Amino acid sequence: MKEFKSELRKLYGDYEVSEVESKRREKQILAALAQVDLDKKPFYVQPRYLRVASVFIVVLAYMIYIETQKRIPEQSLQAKLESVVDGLEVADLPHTTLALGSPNDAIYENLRIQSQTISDQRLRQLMEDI
Amino acid sequence: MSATTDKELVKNVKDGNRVAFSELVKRHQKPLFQFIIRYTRNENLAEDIVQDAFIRAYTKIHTFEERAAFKSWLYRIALNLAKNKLRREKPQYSIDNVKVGKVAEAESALVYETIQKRIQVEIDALPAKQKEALHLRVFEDLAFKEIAEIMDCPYDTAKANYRHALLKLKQTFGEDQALREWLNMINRELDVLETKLGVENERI
Repeated sequence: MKEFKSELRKLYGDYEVSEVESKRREKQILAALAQVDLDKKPFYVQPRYLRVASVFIVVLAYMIYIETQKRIPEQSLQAKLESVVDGLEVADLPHTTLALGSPNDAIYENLRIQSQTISDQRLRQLMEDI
Repeated sequence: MSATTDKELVKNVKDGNRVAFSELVKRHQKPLFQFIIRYTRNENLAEDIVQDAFIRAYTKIHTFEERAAFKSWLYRIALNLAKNKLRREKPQYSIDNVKVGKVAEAESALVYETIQKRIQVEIDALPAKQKEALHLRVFEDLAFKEIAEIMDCPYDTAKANYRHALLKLKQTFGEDQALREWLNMINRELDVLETKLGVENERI
C-alpha cells in the first residue's frame, strides 16, 4: 500500500541539494553574519517585562481609585446635609416636598426654601457647613 | 559526549558567544533552504530568504523567549520573509525549474510525469495557509504542534488547514481517472487524520 506522504514527496519533486552547494551557502551565510554589528542594538524592552509593567500599572491605578473612594465616601454629603437639616426648625420646612423625589432632592429643595427665609448670617453659616 | 542542543546554543549566543550561532547555521541551513525552495520554487529567492532569516534570527535572538523550539522560530521567520517577498515580487517561478528527485526520474513514464505536473500545479494553487500546512506536514514531517508554532496559529487551525488542503486535492482529483489511485491515498490519509481528531475530541 502506497503511503500518501512519501508518494507526494516523490511526485511534487524535491530539490536536490548537493553537499558542495550546501557548504557554499553555509559559508555565504556565515560571511554575511560576520558583517552584522550587534553593538548597534536598537532600544528594546522584552515583551515579558512590558506585560509585567502593564499589570503593575493596572493594579496601581485600581489601588489609587479605591483609596480615592475611601476618602470621599458616597454617603458623606448626604449625611452632612441631613445633619444641617436636623438643625433647622421643623416648622420652617414645607412638609409637602419631603415626600417627593429622592431624599437628596427633598433636602436640597427644603434648603433652598429655607435659605430664602433665614437671615444672611445663617445662610452663610449653612453654606459653609455644606 | 552528547551533542549540544539548540536550546544550549541559543543560551550561549545570548551570552555573547557568536561562534555558537555558526553551529545553529550548520544545523538548520540545509533543511531550511529545502523548505523555502519548495515554497518559493526559486533558487535565488530561496537563498536570499534563508540568509535574511539567519541574519534576522541572529540580531533578534535576545527577543526569542524560547516558548517554542529554535527551529520553529527560525522557520517562522523564514516563512514570513518568503510570504512578504512573494507578495511583493509576484511569483516568477516555474515548476519546470525544480529538479526532481532520483526516485521520480526512475519512473519516467509519460503518465507519471503528467500526474506529477498536475499535482504540482494543484498544490501550488492551494490557498497560502493550506499550502504551508501541507508542506510542513508532508515534506518536513512535522507534528501539528510544531506546524502551529511555525504558522503562528492555534493547534486546531494548523490541523484544519492540512485537512482542508487534502479535501481540496481530493475534490480536484476526483474526476480524473489517472489520479484514481491518488484519491485512495488521500482518503486513507484523511481517515487517519479524522480518527486522530475523534480520539482527541473524546479525550476533551
